Formats: sequence, C-alpha cells, structure tokens
Amino acid sequence: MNTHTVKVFDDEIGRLRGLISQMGGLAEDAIANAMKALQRNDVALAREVRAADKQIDAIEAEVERLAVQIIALRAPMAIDLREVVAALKIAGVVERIGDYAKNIAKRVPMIESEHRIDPISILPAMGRMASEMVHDVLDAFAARDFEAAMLVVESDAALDDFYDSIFRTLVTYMVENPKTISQVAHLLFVAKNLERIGDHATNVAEMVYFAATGTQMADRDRGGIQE
Amino acid sequence: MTNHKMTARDVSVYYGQKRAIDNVSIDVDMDNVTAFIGPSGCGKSTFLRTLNRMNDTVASARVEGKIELDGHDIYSPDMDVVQLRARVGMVFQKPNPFPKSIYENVAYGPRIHGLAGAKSDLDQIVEKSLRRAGLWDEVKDRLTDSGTALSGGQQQRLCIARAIAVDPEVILMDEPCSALDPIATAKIEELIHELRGRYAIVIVTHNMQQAARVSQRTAFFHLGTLVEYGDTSAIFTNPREERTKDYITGRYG
Repeated sequence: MNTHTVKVFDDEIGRLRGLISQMGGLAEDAIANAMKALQRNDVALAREVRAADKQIDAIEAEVERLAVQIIALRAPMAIDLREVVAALKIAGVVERIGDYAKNIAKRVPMIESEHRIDPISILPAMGRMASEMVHDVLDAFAARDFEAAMLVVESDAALDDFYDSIFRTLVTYMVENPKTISQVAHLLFVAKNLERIGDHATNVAEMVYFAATGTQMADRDRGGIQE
Repeated sequence: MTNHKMTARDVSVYYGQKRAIDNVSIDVDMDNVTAFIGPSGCGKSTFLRTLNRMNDTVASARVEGKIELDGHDIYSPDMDVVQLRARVGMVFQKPNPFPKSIYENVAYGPRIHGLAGAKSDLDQIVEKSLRRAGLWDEVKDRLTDSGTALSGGQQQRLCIARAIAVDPEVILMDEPCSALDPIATAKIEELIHELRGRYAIVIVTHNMQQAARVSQRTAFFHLGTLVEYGDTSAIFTNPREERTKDYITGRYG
C-alpha cells in the first residue's frame, strides 16, 4: 500500500496496529498461563495472569484514545477508516478475551488439589486451540489477510466440537461421582470460557475481513456467537 | 426510478491540441446532489463548465460528444445558450455579486429573461429566492444596500439566490465554499441540502469531507478521465478503483 502524503498519519495507523498486536500477544499469554496454572495448580501463576490483565485494559484504553484522535484529526477514509474502526472494535473484543483468561485463572485456587480429575489434562489442548485462533486472527489483521481470517472462522467448528465432547465427559463425571461436582462445575466454566474465546476470535475474523475487503463476510462463512 | 436530468456521453474537451477531458460519460440525477472530486487539473471544473456551455467563452476550447438536458442536445445549433444558462445556473468559487443593490442582484436575471411583469411579481421573486437561499432574514431590511457590502458567506448565498431567481432546473457549483469560513460553509452546505430535490445540483469541491457531507453521488476525475462514479457512501468507504482509494485516503502523488 502506498504511503500517505502526510507521513505522520502513517505513523499513527502503524502505532494503532502495533497496539493491537501487543494486546493480542498479551491475551495469548494470558490464555496459555491460565491453562498452565490450572494444569499445575499453580496459584502464584494464576495471580500473575490476573495482574497482567490490567496491562491489556490499559492498552485497550490507549487504542480507544488513539483511534478517536485519528478520526477527529485525520478524518480517515475508505481502508483507513475501516482499519481504525476495526482496531477500535478488536481492542474491545481482545479485552474480553483477556477477561475470560482471567476468569479461568480465578478458578485455579478454588479447585481442590486432591482428587483432581482427568479432564484437567485435556483442557490445555483446548486452550492451545483457542489461543491459536486468537494468534491467527490477529496475524490476519496485521497482514490485512482476509483469507487467513476465513480460515479462523472455519476452525471455530473444531473448537465447538472439542467443547461438546468435554461437556459430555464432565457431565459423566458428575453423574458417576457427585463428589466431583464442585470441581467439575469450575472445569465446565473453563471449557465454556475457551469456547467463548473462539467465538470472539471468530467475530474478530469478520472485522478483519471487513477491514481488508470493505464487504461483509458471506453468511455461510460466519461462525458468530453460539449460545 | 432513474431520473436523469442531464446525460453526458463520450464527452471530450480540448483546449487547442491539449485534451483536457477524455471520453467522459455520466448521468446527473434530479434527486441527488452530485459531487465531482479530483486533484487540481483533473478536468472536473472543465467538465462542469461543459454542462452549461461556459467553455464557449474560451476561444480555444472544443467539445466533442453529446450532452443532453431532458433529452435535448445542448450543443445543437437550435439551442439558445442564454436560455440554457438560465436553466442550468452556476455559482462560482469567489462570490461575485454585481456592484448593485442586493435587490437588483436577484432581480436582474428575472427582469432580462422577462419572468416578471409587474413590480410586485419581481418583489415576490426576489423574496422567494432570498428565502430559498437562506438569506432573507439577514437582508430584508437593507435590500437597497450594495451586494458587495455583505460578508463573503452572505455574498455567496446572494449569488445562489441570483441563480435561483431565474428558476433553473440544474445548479452547477464550482467550489462554492473555498473562499468561505467554516460557519458560512456550513450554511451553504445546509442550503444545498434544502435545495436538493428541487434542483439537480452538481458541485465541484476540493474538500472531500464536503463532497462526502453534501452529495449522494460522487464522481472521481483524474487526468481528464472519469475514474469512478457511484454512491457517495460507497466511494468514501469502499471505492473500487485503486486510484480512487489512493486519492481519498490521502495517498495520492
């Protein structure tokens, strides 16, 4: 893409895109660390995840400030406008993704360390899948690659299947041994949080697609929010 | 239903040997404000001026192709140019009121075109035109003052009232706000909004925000060609052509 005649405009858009990448990196770390804390019952690491979330919130505020400044001072048009609006919306979504990771971390101290059940060992695989979607969709935004964004939307179905399978497994545990109910209830929320992270990554993919192409992703390609 | 007031087909304009407009075809609708945008020298003003044959006054200018107003070729020999310019009025970049009273500025056109018989008819036309131009309340008590004594913004609205007074069908505006402050500009833009539908309006502007604000259709000109013509919202959010993208996002040149 050609550069703007007013160079500082390019700098501002570049900075905005940089902030989104930075936020995305922090959100990925938050998911990975929350899952690691869960797996190892590492309460200290869980606490770190909750502290790191403040950084994500701070960057979101900075994205908002910069986006509003660009809109007010540069009156962006066409792809510039779409990118600024997308960045503004993506920042809000990534902040939510961070909240889901934080919520997972908050549950770590509440899960008893004795008698930990098996699904705890497969949840991190689901976590990696969700984290990868976040990673891939923000890469797609950085590269303005609408095809990569469509792949993220497609991958959401696999995450949903993963969730369904874990859900069934966890319910079986509760039926077979009511003592596990409180632990499993937490794990259900963990799985649900990861599934929601996938939905949010899918929404970001739609924003990336719109920013890059100027048209909405066709309905059949859209994952959307599953209740 | 499409409602083409003017249609241009394969229009080229030459100044001597130099081709300033190359094969432009465009329709101007009654219901829409049409904006022409493009960098300096792209031909947008030249093209605007072909729509009421203002280029006739330039000795070296030559127009090819066909331009129709309500289906009649405006370059055909039986077209009365004076009549044409009454039907297709024009407002220029710098406000250019006659060095006459406010009243006379507006009354001049209707009088020479014989649109008003009695003095009372003329009074009515003057008031109606000044009202439509959003100037009446500001000048009604000083109609005998010179038009040149008004502020720049008021002068431009006076020029719009003058154009309206002869009951035109199309109003061409060539950068009508470039010499005005933001408040006067906003008043002209509001006026354009109010006049929409009553007249087909074509506006040339360097201010892309203005084109985005006042028009429903936008045409982007570059190096004498019409690069893209479409709904204003589409042109400014998702233009199809690379050159349009570069221009409206400030990446041109």
